[in-house]
Amino acid sequence: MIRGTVCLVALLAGAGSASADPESDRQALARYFEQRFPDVEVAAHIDGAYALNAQTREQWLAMEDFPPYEFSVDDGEVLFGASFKDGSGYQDCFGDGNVKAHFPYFDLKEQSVVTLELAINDCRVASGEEPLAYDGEDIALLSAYMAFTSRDSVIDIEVPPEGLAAYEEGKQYYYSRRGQLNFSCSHCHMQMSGMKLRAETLSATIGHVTHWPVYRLKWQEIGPLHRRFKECNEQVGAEGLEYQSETYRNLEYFLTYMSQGLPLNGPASRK
Amino acid sequence: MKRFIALSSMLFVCLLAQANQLTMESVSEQILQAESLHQKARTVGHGWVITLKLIEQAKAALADDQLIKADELSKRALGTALASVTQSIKEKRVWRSRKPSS
Ligand code: HEC
Repeated sequence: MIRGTVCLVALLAGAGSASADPESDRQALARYFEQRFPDVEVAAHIDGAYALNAQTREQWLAMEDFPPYEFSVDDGEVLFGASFKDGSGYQDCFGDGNVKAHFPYFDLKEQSVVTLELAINDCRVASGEEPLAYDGEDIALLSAYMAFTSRDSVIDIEVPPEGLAAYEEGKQYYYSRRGQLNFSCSHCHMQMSGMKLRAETLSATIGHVTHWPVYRLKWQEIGPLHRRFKECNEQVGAEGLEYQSETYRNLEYFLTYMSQGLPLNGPASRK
Repeated sequence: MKRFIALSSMLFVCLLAQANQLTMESVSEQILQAESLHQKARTVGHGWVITLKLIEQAKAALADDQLIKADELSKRALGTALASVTQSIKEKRVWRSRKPSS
């Protein structure tokens, strides 16, 4: 009986450490990409596919000379500086806006992951304002401004024991096959990273969250990370989820931990 | 000859009975089954775009009294919905094998 209990405890402890240790997950993933791309520093992946393709990098750097998101940052600054009806404003919630390095975080009271977009709406609602639409322009502009003021800060998020289940759910989502084409995120962004899919070089998992929101030439506007999640889902015939759904927030939580320690470089431009 | 007539009429009756099985109700029921399976896959993040498309097409065909077409489309929807549920069950078991080992 005692031996059985000891075994069970050992097993549970073992299961805990095997499944729920973000730091060892991050290190294993970094090693994976170091081995796959020995000539590319892990931190270089913050430039996405442009870290893996010298030719498109040239074109991209030329585009960055006159960054297409510049106006969005300016417009975002105006929105950020405006006052709410009760006289307060975003500064009361986010100071000068340089807070992105600590998002998303796990809210112990709500027992869920809070992304920057969610916090923007929480800030508004607390002051009696209507929340912004997650697929709308204003929230993208505000987060563009905050990404800009957060530039070069190093991602520094926490996964407390209470947040492990959300982190694990995000991780499971990332590694699970989905859609009629039966692909997981990891198939394209790990096993096939650096290879071409149609005309595009596939970027690495690491660095996937450092530069949002993004001005995409295809979109002709600036848009959030969850829009990209949805598009990647739909590419394989899977139904995309709502922006800021719990599952996408958990996915962002996992992916952000995988970029822990990397500098923020948003907003950015992409094809 | 008598036997032939008897057999043919039996076959005819059978065919008629089978055609009768394809009713608005039976096809609607099939669509509902596909919808319910699709919903099951969807709640665990495994909904497929094609299933929804087929369900919508089946409903449109049914509304247009095109029973055979509606039947065919809803059978396909049932097939893809089932595959998406199967995917969700299988992935629950195997996803861990894809993460790099620590
Ligand atoms: C069929 C292949 C495929 C699958 C599966 C896939 N993606 Fe993508 N993804 C792409 C392509 C192509 C791009 C554009 C080129 C690039 O940046 O990698 C892209 C881009 C991205 C980007 C933007 C990278 C950047 O630098 O801005 C993110 C983030 C992303 N994918 C996340 C995901 C997530 C999360 C999943 C799973 C839900 C996923 N992808 C599944 C093909 C895929």
